[in-house]
Amino acid sequence: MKAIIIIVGLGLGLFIGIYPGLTKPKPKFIKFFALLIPVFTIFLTLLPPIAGTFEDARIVGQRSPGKMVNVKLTPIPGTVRHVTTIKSLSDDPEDYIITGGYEQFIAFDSQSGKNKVYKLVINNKIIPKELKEGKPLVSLINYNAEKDKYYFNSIVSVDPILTLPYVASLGELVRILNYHVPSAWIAVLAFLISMIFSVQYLRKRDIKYDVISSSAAEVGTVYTIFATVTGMFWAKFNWGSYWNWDPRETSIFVLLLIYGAYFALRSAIEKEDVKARLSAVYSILAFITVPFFVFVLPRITQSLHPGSASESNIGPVLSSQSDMLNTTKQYIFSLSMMSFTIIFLWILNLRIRVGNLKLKINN
Amino acid sequence: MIEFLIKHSIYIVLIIVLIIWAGISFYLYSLDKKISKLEKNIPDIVEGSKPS
Repeated sequence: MKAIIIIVGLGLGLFIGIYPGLTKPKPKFIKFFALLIPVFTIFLTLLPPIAGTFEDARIVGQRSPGKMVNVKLTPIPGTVRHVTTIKSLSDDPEDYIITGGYEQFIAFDSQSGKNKVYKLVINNKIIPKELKEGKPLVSLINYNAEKDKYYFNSIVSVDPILTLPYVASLGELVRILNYHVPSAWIAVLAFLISMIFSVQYLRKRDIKYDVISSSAAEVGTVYTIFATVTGMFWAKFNWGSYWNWDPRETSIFVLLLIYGAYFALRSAIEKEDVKARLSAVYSILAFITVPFFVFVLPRITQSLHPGSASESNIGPVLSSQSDMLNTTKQYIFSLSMMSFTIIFLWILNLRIRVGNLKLKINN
Repeated sequence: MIEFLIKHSIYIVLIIVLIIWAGISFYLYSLDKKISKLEKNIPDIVEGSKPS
């Protein structure tokens, strides 16, 4: 199901992006569409609150005491009452219980896979008014391992329409996934287009295929750099440093070197047809390494990057077991994939048209 | 307004990202326009747009 949603996004992106042709000027509505969809993606990536489960709060609380986790709570109607008197718990003067009623919530329990009823102790004398309204909320919860209790801290969002999954050790950083992964995939797509048109060039010996092939390699390199830079910032806050020669980082660096050599080769040859022929052959050879460096090498080595050999699944985006993408996140990721594809194909289209113009003027 | 933004800093990120995106959109759109104009001035460049 996950794969179908993502493939539909990619397919729609390809269809809208290529229409009415890779080298033809785009109609106005496609441009409008291409600029509008990323706006939705930006909103949907940044605004929904991240919501985990009590199990997440427990794991995080045991690992780093005092750290809080967003948990989605659904109050059971009628259980949240007005405060009448507040009595301190005898064993802990910091905890308060509300006499005359306690707060009951339904929250997802990932261990049993079912919804479970939780009672919360509120360490605040005043019950927030949002809590009394009986709407679902995302609240900051922390787990105290010594007392085996969950503490309700504050309300993050009331009645959220969409929530993003909570991933332990990522937290709010999970939002970068919507920009980092599509840019890496788009780079592969660009190199694939470059390879296909290189083959076309070698078959037909028409210079227009060389323009498409070299433009795709250029835009693909830009996207590879984008994936590397977003990954670097992500690594800084998850792994501790911008660059630590992780297999994934090394493989993308080698990939950048390979395509850097492609441009060095192109700029070294003056004669158009020799340049086109040699760079077409090089592009085909270079693409053979792309699946290896992007999909294979980081998966067979021990790496910090998700989906490496040290993990049981093939990565958060592709694996069917991973909980990094819930249904909402899958649709938003798919939308992001689509907008990245459309924008990429538009930039590629502009680049090819500039290349064609240059060719015409030179002749 | 300012107090709201200080409390919910993700909206500041949202505004900045949208401004950057508006800039990129404007640039892409104007580039497309310029290239289309050039193509019109030098006919028969794009396949099928004008037969020579």
